Amino acid sequence: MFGNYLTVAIRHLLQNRLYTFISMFGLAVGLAASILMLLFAQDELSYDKHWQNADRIYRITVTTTLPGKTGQSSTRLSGGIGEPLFEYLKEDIEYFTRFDHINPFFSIGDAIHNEYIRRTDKASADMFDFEVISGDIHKALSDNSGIALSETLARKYFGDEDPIGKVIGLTFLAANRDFQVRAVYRDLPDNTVLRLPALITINEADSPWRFGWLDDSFYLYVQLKPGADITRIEPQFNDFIDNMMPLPSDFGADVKPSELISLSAQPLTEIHLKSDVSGREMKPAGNMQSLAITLAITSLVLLIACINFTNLSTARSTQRAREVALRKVLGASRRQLIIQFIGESILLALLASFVGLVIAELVLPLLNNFSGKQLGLDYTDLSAAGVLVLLAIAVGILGGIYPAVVLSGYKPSAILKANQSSDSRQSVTFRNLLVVVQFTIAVVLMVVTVVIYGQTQYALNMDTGYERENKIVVQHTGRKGVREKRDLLKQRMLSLPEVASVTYSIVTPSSKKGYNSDFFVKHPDENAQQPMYAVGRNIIGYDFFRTFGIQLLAGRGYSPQYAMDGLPEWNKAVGNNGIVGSIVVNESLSKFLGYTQPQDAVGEIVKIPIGEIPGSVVFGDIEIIGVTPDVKFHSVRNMVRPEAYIFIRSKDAPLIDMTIHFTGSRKRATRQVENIWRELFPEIPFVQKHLNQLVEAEYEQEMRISTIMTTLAVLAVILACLGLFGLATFSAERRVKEIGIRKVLGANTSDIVRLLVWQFSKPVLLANLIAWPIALWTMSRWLQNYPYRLDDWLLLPICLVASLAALAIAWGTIIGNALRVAKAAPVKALRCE
Amino acid sequence: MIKLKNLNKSFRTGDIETLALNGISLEINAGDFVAVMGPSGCGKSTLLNLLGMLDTPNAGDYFFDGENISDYHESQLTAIRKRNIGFIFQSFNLIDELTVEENIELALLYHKISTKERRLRVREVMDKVGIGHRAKHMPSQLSGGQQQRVAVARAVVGRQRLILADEPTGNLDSTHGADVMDMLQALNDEGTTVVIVTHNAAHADRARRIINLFDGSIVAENKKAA
Repeated sequence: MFGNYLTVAIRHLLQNRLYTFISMFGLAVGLAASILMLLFAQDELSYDKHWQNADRIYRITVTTTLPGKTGQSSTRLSGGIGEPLFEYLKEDIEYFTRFDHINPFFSIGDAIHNEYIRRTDKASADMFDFEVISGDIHKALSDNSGIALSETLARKYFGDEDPIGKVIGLTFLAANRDFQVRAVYRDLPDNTVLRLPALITINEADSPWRFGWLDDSFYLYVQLKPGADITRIEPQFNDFIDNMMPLPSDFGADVKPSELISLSAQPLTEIHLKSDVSGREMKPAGNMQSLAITLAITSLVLLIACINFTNLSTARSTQRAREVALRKVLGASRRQLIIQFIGESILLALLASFVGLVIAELVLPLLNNFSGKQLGLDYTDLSAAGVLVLLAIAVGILGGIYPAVVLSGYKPSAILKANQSSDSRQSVTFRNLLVVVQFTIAVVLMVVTVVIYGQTQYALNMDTGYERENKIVVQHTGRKGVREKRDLLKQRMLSLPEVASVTYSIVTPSSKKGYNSDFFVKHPDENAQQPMYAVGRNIIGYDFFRTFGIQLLAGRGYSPQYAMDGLPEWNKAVGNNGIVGSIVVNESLSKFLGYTQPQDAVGEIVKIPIGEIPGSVVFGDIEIIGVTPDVKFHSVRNMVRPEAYIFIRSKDAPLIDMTIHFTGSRKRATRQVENIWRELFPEIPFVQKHLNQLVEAEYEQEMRISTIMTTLAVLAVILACLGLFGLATFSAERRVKEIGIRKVLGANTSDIVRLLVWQFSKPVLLANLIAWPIALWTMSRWLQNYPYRLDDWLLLPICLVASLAALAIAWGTIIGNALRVAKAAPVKALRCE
Repeated sequence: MIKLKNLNKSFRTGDIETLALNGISLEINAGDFVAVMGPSGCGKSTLLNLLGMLDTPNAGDYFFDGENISDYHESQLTAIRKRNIGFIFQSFNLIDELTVEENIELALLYHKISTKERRLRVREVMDKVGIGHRAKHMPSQLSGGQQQRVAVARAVVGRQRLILADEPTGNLDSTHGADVMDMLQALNDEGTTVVIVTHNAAHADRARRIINLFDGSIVAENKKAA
C-alpha cells in the first residue's frame, strides 16, 4: 500500500514539475530564512549565559534627573560609587568590579602603538571565569603594575613568544609607567557584552576626576551572594544614595539626593538585548524589539510560503479527483485517502526542509559577514534537528489537510460522470482568501520597509544645521605633548592650500562624547524651586562656527581680538566684579532665558558658576555675545535642548579633537595633514576620521535592520508572486475549455487577458484595502519614536506606491501566462475536451 | 457567402505529417443547409473548424463574403467570426461555472450591446428553444438535451448568419436529437445558413446538400431540389 502511495506521489510530483518547484522551492526558502533567523535569535538570546555566575551578576545603572533635563539613564557611573555601595550592602553582595575605558599609548621596545584597553578591579578575576592560557590573572590584577592581555593582543605584540614577564610602557590619563604582562587569557566569545582587549587595575590617582559623583566613566558590576534576592536589594539603593551622597546646597535645600540620582540593577544576561542606551556599551547592543520584529517578519515569510504550499496542493488536488473516485470505487476508505494525501504533503515538506537546509548553509557566510557573528548549523544538535523535522511535518499537515479532507469527501459517481469540473466554489474561495492574506502581508512589509528606510535616510540627510562635507576630524589634540603646541599645529594646518579653516573642540557630531555633559546656569526665575538649571555644554575653540558652517542668528562667535571672550578658568575670577566673560548660546537656551528674539539676548547677562568658596558655588556675570540656531550637533535621535557653546580661557581646555575643513581631494588633504602631524608629533599616532563616516556610523544599527527587513520583504513579495504565478498557471490550464469557448464566441486576446488578470487582481486589490490601515497605524506609531521624523502624511503616498507596486508585480506575474493562453488558437483549447 | 479553393490542412505529430484536408474546393451560399458526412478521421471536424475560422489552412484560399481571409490575422478573424458565425458542439461546451442565462449572454458580451438589450435577447432566445424555466440553473443540473438547447440558444443569440454544428446530436438520444434538428431546420427556414457534421444519415437527410468526405477529400455531393 505504502509503495503504491509513494509511486503515485513521486509520479505526480514529477508530472507537475512547475507546481512541485514552486511549492517546494518557496517552502525551502521560507524554511531557510526561518533557520537563519532562529540561529541569529538563538545567538542574540545566548549573550553572557555562559559565565558560571551569570545568574548572580548584575550591572548597576544610574538615572540622573537634573533640573532642566528629563531623566537620563546611563550604563556608566562614577568610579566612586562601587566601594561604598559594596560596604553598604555587604550582606548581600559578594563582589563588585568596575570597568572603564582608556586609550593609552603602548610602548614596547622602541615602537609606540595606540590601543583601547580597560581598567578594572581584581574581583573581575573571581566574577568572570576567564580561560587563562598562561600566567595568573589574579596576580596580573593584584597591583597597579600588572597587565593581563587577551590572546589576540598578546599575539599582535609578541607573536609566538611567551609574553609573560615582558614589560609594556603605558601612557594614559595622568599615568605614565611600566606594566608587566602577568597573564594571557583566551579571547572572550562573541556572545558577551564585555569587550576586554587587555586589563589593568584601577588606580584612583591616575584619574581622580573620574571618581566625582556625577562622573560617568565606569561600568559597575556586582555579584550577589548565593541566595541573595535582587528585588530585596534594589529598594535599598535610594537609602544608600541619600545617606552616602553629598549634594551641594545649590540644588535647593529640600532636594533629596535620590531625587536627582537613582540606581537600578540590570541582570548581566539581559544587558545585550535590553540596553536602551545605544552607544554607551562596550559593543553595539542588540535590541529586543528589533529582534522580535525580525522574527515576526520571518514567520510571516514562512506563512506566505506555507500558503503557497496549501494553495497549490488544493488547486492541484482537483485534478486528482478521478484518482480519488477510482480508489473509492476500489474500496479505499476516507481515512486511508486522507492519510495518503497528508503523507504526500509531508513528504514534499520534508524534501523542502532538506533543500532549505542547503540554502541556509549557502547563505550563512553572507549572514555572518553582515552581522559580524560566527553562526553555524550544528548537525549534532538533535533537538534542533527535531524542531526542523517537526516544523516540516506541521507545515506538511497544514498544507495537506484541506485538500485531503475535500478530496476524500468527493462522491465517486459525481466525479466519474464526464464533463464535470471538480473544482468546487469553496476551494476557489479558500484559495483566494489565502492569496488575500499573502498580499496583505507583502504590502504591509513593503510599506514597513520603505518607511524604515525612509526614516533612516531622513535622519541621515536631514539639515542638522552644520556642514558635514569635507571635514577631517583628528583625535588626540588634548594629549600632553600636543596640547602645548595646539596653536602651532593650527597655524601649520592653515598654511596648507587645501585647508580652509581649523578648529578645536571637545565634541564632534555623533561622537557621543560629551552628550551627557552639562553645566549650570542660574534659573532666570528668581523664585524657581531649583536655582540651578542644567544645560548642554559644548566646549569649543576659535573658528568653530566658521569651520562647521554654522551661521549665527545674532551677535558673533569667539575671537582672539577680545581678551575677555569665553569663561574664566575655575576659581580664577572669583571676587571680580562686573562682567568676567562671554558665552554663545543656542536659540533654545536664549528662549529659556526669556528672550523671544535672538538679538534681544545679545549683550544680556547670564549668571554661571565660575568657582567655589567653601560650602557654596560662586556665580559670575557672563555676557551673551552670540546666538546660534538649534544645531543638531549630537544626534538627531534627541530633540535639541538648551545648549551653550563654551570657550575656556585656558591652555589646558579639554579640546581633544581638531576638525579641519578642506577643499579639493580628501586623500591629498589627509596626506598633507598627516605629514605635518608626523613632523610635529613623531611619537603620537595620527588618528583621523572623516566626519561623514562618524555620522553614518551612528546609523549602522538602523541600516543593518533596514537591510534585513528589505531582504525579508523582497523575499515575501517574491514568494507571494511565485504562488500567484502557480495559481494563475493552474487556473489558466483549468480554464482552457472556457477560454476556448469564449474565443469561439468572439472574445479576442485582450478580452481573455483582461479576464484572467482581473480574476487575480481582485484578491490583490482586497489585500491592499486590508493592508493600508494596518500599515498606516503601525508605522505612524513607530515614527512617534523619533523626535525628527518623516511627516505622517507621507505614509499615504508610500502605501499607494506599495499597492501599485504589488499590483504591477502581480500583473507582471500573471500577464505572460495569460497572453500565452489567450493567443493559442481556440481549436487547440477545445481539442482538449 | 463562402468559397473555398484548394484548401489544404495537415497536422504534425513528431515526425509524422498527417494530411487532414486535401485540396478542398467548396461553395456555400447564403441560406444553404449543408450536411458533412464521412467516416471517423476523414476530416469533417477539421473542415468545420476551418470554416469557423477556429483554425487556419496550410494552403489554399478562403473567401468569406468575397474577401480572401486565408492569411488574416487572428484578431481580424475573431472580428468576422463574432459578427457572423455561431457554433454548436457535440459536447455542448457550456461553462460549468455560469448559469444557463449567463452562458447564453456570454455570446453577446463581446459585442457592443447594452445590458438591457442583452437581457431581452437572451430571454427571447431562451423562450424560443424552450428552456426559459431553467434560466438560473447550472449546466450540471440539466439533461444532455437541455444542455444542447442552451448551446443552440447561445449560437443564435447574436443573430449570426452562419451556424456551424459539429455532431450536435452525437451525445443525445433520438428524441432529443430530433428536437435539435428541428430547431436547426427552423433557423434555416428563417434564412440562417447551417452547416452540420453528422454520422446520422437520417439527420443528414434533412439538409439540402450532403457532402461526403473521405481521407480529406470531397468524394461526393448530393443536392436536393429546392
